[in-house]
Amino acid sequence: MLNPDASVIANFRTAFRGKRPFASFAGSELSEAELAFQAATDPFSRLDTFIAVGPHGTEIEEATLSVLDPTFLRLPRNLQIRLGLLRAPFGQLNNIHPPEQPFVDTPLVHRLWFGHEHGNNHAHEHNNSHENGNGHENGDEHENEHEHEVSPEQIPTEGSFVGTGLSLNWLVPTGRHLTWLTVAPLNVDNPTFHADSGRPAWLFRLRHMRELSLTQSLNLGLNYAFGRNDLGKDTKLLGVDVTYRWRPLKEGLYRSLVWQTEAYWGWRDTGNGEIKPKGWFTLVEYQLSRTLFLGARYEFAQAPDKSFSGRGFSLAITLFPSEFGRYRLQWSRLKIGGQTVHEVWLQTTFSIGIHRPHPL
Amino acid sequence: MLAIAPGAARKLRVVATTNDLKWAVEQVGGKNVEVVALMHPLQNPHTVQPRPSFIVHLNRADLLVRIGLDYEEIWLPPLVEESRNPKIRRGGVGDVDVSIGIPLLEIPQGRVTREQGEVHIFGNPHFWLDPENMKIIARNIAEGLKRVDPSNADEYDRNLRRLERLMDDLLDETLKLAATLRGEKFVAYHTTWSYLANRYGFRIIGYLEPKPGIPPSASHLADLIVRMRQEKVKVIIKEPFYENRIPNMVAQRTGAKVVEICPTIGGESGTETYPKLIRHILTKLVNAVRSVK
Repeated sequence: MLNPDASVIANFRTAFRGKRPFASFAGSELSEAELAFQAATDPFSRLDTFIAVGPHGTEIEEATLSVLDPTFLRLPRNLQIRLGLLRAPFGQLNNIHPPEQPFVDTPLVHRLWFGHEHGNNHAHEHNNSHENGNGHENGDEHENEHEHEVSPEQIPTEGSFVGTGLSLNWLVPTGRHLTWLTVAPLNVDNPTFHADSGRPAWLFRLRHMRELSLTQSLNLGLNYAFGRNDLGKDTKLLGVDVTYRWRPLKEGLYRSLVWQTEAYWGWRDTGNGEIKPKGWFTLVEYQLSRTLFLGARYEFAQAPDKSFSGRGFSLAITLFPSEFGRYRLQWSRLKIGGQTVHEVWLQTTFSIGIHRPHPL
Repeated sequence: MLAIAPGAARKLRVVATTNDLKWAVEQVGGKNVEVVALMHPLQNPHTVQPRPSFIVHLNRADLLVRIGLDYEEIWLPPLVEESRNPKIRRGGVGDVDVSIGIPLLEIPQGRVTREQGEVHIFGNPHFWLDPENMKIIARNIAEGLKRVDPSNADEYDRNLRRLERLMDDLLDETLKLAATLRGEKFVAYHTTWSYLANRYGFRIIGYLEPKPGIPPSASHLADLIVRMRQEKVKVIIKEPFYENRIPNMVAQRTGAKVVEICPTIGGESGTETYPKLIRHILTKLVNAVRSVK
């Protein structure tokens, strides 16, 4: 009776990769089994723990104590405090664990800027030589002629912005709409921020959710973060995100649409100048029937040090035979570091147990 | 105890998850309450897309009245958490679970697994469609109102007794209205009508969904068509939020008639109150049965 809600989400992936679709079999793996344990700890707080088990080992993906009723600390009730290993409040998609996102891989900008949940950052490791120059700026989105050769295999498949620390979230009801303001000092270790720099990264997120009608809503986010990079210098990030959702009333079981766009800009001090990478993605997921969803994503991202950039287009079709299982076929065309590859993914994701739904 | 001060001018802010519960709260709470319902009557309870205004209402609520069991489990708990309102959290002074005390039907026996589909693990939650159960729902609401507003307890008790008499009268009237349904067999899309069938003496012999929440498959529909022919089932009941194609296809192959009925107040014209809803549903079923005989 007092046991926590326990669940396992198993995520299997098979990939083909090459200059043509199905050119070569890239491998098949249990990419992750996510174990979740979630429960109220007392009348004021709850604990959510997610443990990822995969070929790269076992790690705690998220472990968060959320103080849901801070009035016992004589704090206002519209304040929510979260402590622990958190998904960073930066953008809307980052709130969602990768196995539950609408594509097999996370967007390129997440993969390049926020590394990999399981720590594969090869693409970042060999790029520091670029920063020994004068930090020259290339403002447009065309691939740099002098880009480092980077094989797409070196780019991690997933990237999530996570960190350890504290998050304070203030809810401001404004008429029929909602505004949240979040401040989070987090110890972050990824290609953008460095954990051993001696100070945390500070994140700020202003989120506004508007009700357009009974069937439509719009979510707008403005994000800012600053901290130290792996050179011990300052890095700042700015991000904006827009999410539009539509689900009709009567046909809501059979039709829905989500359109999501996020764009990030960075300022990375190298000591010899400033590098200004950027990245964005736009995705749409349309529900064709009770069980079938079609998704498309277009994206661009530069590496945090601008040593290379990538551009991609993906199409995914997802079949949900039930609420607890999913089969997904995805084709992606990626141009990274001057190389173009096609990827074909088959993903199967199944859950058992009680998995709490994600909040708004 | 987070009670409203005696003599306070402000009405109690009540959030009900459905229009049926909203109606019951208005009957019991009378002039002391202002009530909003979260779900639209034409919305499938399994696909509720939470809107920002849900959180605004929950944030300000003195009382949250919900069906309970696992009816709102997919979407409501994260919203209550996000609302930052400790009064309406599970077990809070303003949390009203109207399923308490309901004699539940279809409680799964033995080990429950997902092989059974999206089975309701505590029993069928569509219990509001039996007027006897509406009395229990109203008692739970009255208890909740008295918890947050004890100064008006006598008024809530009086209103409750009036609603109980109204339900008794409704039962007397509708048992006569639905006399022709006794012993009739129907097929339904989903397990929405079990309590109504139990009260008024008709049977749902099969469902278009092979298991709750699982889309109809060709093999299941083939078996169902054979069974409908054998048992001479002539009426298929579907809710407005389910698709028409499959019920119409089954009806075409069996000579049955599809009758679309919304199980919630306000989903169809002429169903603005609970008594009107029950009369409307039963009249539609009676007319459908008569039209195919």
